[in-house]
Amino acid sequence: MIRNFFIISMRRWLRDPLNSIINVFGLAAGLATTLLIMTFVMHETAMDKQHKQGNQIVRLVQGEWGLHAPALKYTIDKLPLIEKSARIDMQYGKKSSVRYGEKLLSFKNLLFTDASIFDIFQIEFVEGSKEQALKEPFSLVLTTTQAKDIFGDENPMGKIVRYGKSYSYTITAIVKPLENTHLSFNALALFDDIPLITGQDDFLNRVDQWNYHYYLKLAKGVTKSEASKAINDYLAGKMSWTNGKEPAFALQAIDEIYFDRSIPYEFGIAHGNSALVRSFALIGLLVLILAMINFINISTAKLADRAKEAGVKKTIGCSKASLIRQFLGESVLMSFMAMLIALLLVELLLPAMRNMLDKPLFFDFSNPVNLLFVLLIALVTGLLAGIIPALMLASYNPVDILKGFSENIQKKGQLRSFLTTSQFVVSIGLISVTIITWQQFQFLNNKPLGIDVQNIVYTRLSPEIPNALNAFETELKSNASIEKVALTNAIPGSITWQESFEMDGATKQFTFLPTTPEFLDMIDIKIIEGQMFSDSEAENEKSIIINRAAAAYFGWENPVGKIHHSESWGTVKVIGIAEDFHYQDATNIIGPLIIMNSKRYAMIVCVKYNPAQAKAAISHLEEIWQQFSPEFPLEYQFMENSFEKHYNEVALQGRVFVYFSLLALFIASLGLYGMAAYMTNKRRKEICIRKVHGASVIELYRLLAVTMLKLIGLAFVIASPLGYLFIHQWLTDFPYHININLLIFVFAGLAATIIALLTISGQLIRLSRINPAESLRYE
Amino acid sequence: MIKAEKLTKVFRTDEVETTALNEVSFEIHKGEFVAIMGPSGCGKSTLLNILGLLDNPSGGKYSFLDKEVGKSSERQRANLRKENIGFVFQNFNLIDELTVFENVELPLIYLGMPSKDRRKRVNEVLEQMQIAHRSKHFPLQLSGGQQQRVAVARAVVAKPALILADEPTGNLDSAHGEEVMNLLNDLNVNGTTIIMVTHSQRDATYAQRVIRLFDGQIINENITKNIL
Repeated sequence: MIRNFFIISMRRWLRDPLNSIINVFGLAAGLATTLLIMTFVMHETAMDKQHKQGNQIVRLVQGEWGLHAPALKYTIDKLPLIEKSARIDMQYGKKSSVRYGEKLLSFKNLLFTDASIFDIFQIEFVEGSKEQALKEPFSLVLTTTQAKDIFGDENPMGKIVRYGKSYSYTITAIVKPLENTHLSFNALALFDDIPLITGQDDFLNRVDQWNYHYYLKLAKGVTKSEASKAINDYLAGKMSWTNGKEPAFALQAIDEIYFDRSIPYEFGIAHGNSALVRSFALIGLLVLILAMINFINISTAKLADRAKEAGVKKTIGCSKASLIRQFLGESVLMSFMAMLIALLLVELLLPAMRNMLDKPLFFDFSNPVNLLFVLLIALVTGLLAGIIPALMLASYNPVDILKGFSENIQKKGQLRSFLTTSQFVVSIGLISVTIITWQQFQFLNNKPLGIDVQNIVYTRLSPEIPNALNAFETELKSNASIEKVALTNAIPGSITWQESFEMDGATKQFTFLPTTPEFLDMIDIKIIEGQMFSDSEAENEKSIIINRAAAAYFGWENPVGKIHHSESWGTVKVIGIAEDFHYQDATNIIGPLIIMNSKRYAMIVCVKYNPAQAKAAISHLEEIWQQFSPEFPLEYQFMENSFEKHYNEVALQGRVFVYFSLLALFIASLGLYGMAAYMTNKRRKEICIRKVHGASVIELYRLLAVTMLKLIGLAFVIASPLGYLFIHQWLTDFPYHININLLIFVFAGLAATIIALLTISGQLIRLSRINPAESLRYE
Repeated sequence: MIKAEKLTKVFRTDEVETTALNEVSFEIHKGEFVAIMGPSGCGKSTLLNILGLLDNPSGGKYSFLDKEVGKSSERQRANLRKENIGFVFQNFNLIDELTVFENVELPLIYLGMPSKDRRKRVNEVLEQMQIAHRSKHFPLQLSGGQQQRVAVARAVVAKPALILADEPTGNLDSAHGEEVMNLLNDLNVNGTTIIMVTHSQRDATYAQRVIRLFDGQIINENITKNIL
């Protein structure tokens, strides 16, 4: 019996290949899209979930701070509720390089940390052991990829590399890189090496310098709140450096860090965007539902074709249950076929998506959970799509069916009208949401930053340069291709230094940028009141410029000329107000900013070049760099690009979102095509009779279109408010966003109409070629 | 074998009530060949559907093989059908996606016969209907007469006690029509009860008895030849 229905299914598909392809591939495309989205969603939500005893691993935070002082560790280690603690420095090693023989290689992520890190995180050793790895000063642990970069096929264990100018590091272990984590590294060295390298003898006992991440492993059975209470209780009254306030440390579970963006003061932590992940999940679900509606629609539409078969079988004595099994089986078989194709598509498309999103996305076929999930989707889709036609076909009276072409079957179209309308609802919703999403991303991309970042390259100063800073600057300027050279602490896009100032008797928090007038001039910051920094600065007071947002934020009427006293900065005087510019990425709101004239904190050198001589400028920079800093490879970036980098996440993921929306639309159109084909076919007899009696093509077209237009009208009324609500909610996540143009919904309705009318036209052309006499005889 | 007592069938829609059969009573014995005749709309096919257990009567009693079946469930009727009744339709009603062989095999599958026995039996019947050479063809590749022979083969393959034929020659030319009638006649000679709805006076001569219906009532029963 199974063979029998398998044969019927196959032959039926082969007899109507176009519809079969639309049906199977439509579903396959839908399933593939859903699976692709799912890999992304699963990748994002699986972050930091790989650690054994992961529920015991936490990060220490205090208010908006994720960073703490070096000395805190010695206090924390005294608490019995905390089994292990490790500090991580992400700055010193961020821009570092090692020399091995003639090879000079830069590290992207060298972390200085405590050996206890191996007891906290699940780090897998390929060579060496966690006991020996970071036992001695100047030990270096490399990841397998980093080891391969430096040593190729040589055995790296015990080899010595030179770090900076004069430190020799011994390779003591090779570990596998941590995957799916907010915290990535290529190499690990001892935290206690920092004072040796930087020459700050008292470094480890410092209680100020809040620059280091703390990861803790709690003792078994201890909750986060118990542990944080213990820390706060222990530290109460002992921390002179919390300004007399009670310490308020809190603990963050390791798998919460990735999506938690409420801690602005931290370094080097990769974050995901939970709102976006949710949007993706939503669109994945939508695509799956769309594909399923298509499948159900086409399956029920073909009901009449199957009626004879059902009737004959029933007459012969096939039971209702057996018929239901057959039709269900067939649709499940079809959905499994679609799933197979979908898995193939996923394998084909995943590399592209991996590249686009720059995430290591994989669909793990060996994971039984994944397989089960895939099987379940296929099974449920097949059952849902098959159950309606199966029940309908099985419940028809064979007499009705075998009398010939049953009008009864044709008239039970309310369900299909409902499904078609829902398809239009989703299509209209998708079109409008996609357009508005796209507009929002365009808006963000084109949003004026308020500064000029064109034709500027920048690089972080290497440790060798500060000693000869003036000479370095002068040499750089000596080439005609270079227009300006400026030093700064940070560049727009990543100005994150937070500082508090005593102002009007209260402590106020600002974003802080120590920089030079040359830099402000280079990026064309406009002073709207007061003046720019000048050389003739009073010795005993520092000049600051505030941004417009700062003046507004604190409600200062005439801030220029005001003098403030700050504990850490002494007397400061506001000499000007700068026009607001985006100093973090453009999705962030512009907050209060203080700019101070100071070369002392310069970490970055920027070079503005003549765009006609870009090549000459870069090679000059390389030449001078080599001269002043031979031990460190030059790694320069274009300010324009680096600013874009901050949009990357939003822009890229936004683009992918738009791609998926388009794909969803395509699937919806496929479904509409199938429906139009069905609707015209269903009325074939009627059309032929009308033709015989002299109906023109236009009249026939009107006849078909009216039915479709009614459904679209209804869908429009439902989809527009839903779409509006969704997109309105979505846009409120962005501090800067476009206003929704209501005409877009009208446009979406029109677009759906056009798609529908086009598909009807295609069908009508086919029908107009049919000889009515033949068709009527057939009926 | 068949006993109909005051069989009534009423079709209702929102506006109209149509009485298709009005208290029809008759008996048919095992081995008979009965033709049911009458003008279009007189209730012939309705009667045949009730006799074939495809439909239940609205009133009256219907006993099939000495059992009252007028109010049977769909499942009971399906079981009775597959074991005892074969159908031949005017428009053949073959499944287009199945070959001749597979179409004929279908009733045996639902009877749960093992595949080897099925093959033997199907080939036997196809030989008997002289259509074995087309067993791998699809219905649409055959002439009308050939299609009807396949339909007859399908009706008899399970050796049913009763064959119901609804205008079996309606779609055939006279030569092919005669072929089919001869097949039915042979089956009857070999003991199968046959009830046939027909418009054709000529086909009716194959029957031993003709029941004439008009407006849902029997107006005349006459015997065309002696029951053997």
